Amino acid sequence: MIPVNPLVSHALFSLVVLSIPHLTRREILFGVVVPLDFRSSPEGLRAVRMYRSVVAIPAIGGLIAIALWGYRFIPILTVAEIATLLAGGMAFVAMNRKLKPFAVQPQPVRVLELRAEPERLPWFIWLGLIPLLLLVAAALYLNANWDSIPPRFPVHWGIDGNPNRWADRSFRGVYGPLFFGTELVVWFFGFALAIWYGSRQSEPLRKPMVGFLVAVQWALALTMAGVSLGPVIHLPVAVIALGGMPIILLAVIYLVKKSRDPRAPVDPTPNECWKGGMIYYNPNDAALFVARRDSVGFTSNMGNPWSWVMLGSLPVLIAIGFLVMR
Amino acid sequence: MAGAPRIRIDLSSPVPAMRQIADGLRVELVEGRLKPGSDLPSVRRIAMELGVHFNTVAEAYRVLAAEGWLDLRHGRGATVVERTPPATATRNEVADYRQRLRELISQMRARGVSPAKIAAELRALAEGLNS
Repeated sequence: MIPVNPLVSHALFSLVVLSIPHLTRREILFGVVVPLDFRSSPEGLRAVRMYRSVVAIPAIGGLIAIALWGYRFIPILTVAEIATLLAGGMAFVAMNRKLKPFAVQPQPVRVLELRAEPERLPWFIWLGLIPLLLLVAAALYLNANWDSIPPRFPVHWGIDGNPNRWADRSFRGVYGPLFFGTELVVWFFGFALAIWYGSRQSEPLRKPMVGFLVAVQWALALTMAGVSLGPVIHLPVAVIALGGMPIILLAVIYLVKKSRDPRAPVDPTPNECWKGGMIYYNPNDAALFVARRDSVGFTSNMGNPWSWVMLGSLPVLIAIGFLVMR
Repeated sequence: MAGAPRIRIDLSSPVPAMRQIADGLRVELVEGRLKPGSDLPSVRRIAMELGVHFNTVAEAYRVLAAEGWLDLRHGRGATVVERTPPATATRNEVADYRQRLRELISQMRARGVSPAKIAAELRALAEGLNS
């Protein structure tokens, strides 16, 4: 029998990797700021074609392997997705190098209006705190229905939809996912604040990015609340796993649309500070976050030590969450 | 002179960013667009918007504070203060300004700006200063 879930998963993943050159605005191709009409030039078309050809090999190879050896699809799926991602990354860097001679230098002149009034946070950032209330409500509900919780229940599922990790009816087992969700929601709230205060006011994607992070907070809280409440209210695994997906999808579509707005000013960061078109390293730039050049959203300025603190804190929080849930 | 106070820097210029920021702010102060009592944006905000290091802006603020234009208080940013006019510039200082003006005027002449136009520009700029 052909395993449909992993096939669809790998196909979608490959499509995302294949679409990367098309996610950025027209003036940015493979992390290089190019003339507006460069994409339709022979060099631009050739670069996109070469990228697609390199990514297509592990993408199609993975689909064939999953279809042929479906019974071993979990390791095959993992290898196929890693290979597709690596191929995409390497092809991206290679195309970035190839296109550098066509790069347009960003405008070196910067003008700043001297206004001292502090900028107000967008109102919708506070919507990111509601998911915390959702998680607290889930905890209160579980506390009130403690006897209805089965002695053992699933907390993690494989791509085939079968549970692969279980928890006992204990304080850790029941509230662990909610604690993990709380950690992540708080981290993403901090991340949204860091984006707001750590990026340039002139960056047009700043507000949409904060909105996107609020959507991520909601999706995370819904998923973790679903995992916790699942055994009591008998939620289907698909609802738990995919419940937050529509929110994320809508947020991604909104972010991509905003990032491709041709009226927005072009990224002013110096070309020489971009490594491979993906990593921004500029110790002389006070900005903590700048607009990505490889896809949509923001990336950290790796020349700022606070970026390392911010990025390093997420794996630490995830590790703490896993320790609590064990 | 109308318009909100603003500064402009050119990151490709051989003039250091710190000097461009200090010079730009001084123009706004001398021409009266930044008035005593007004607060300046924080070092962090200016550095971020201009894409330079915090220390670059902090140093520019310190230069202007040393000249008597700004009051810097830790954690409260910079405030423009009423400046007591300094004693008349020394002969050496005047000679230094003359030399800088000569260099600038030579650059303008080399770019084809006529002497009459240069004189008119200088007169207009000097008359625009209110301190």
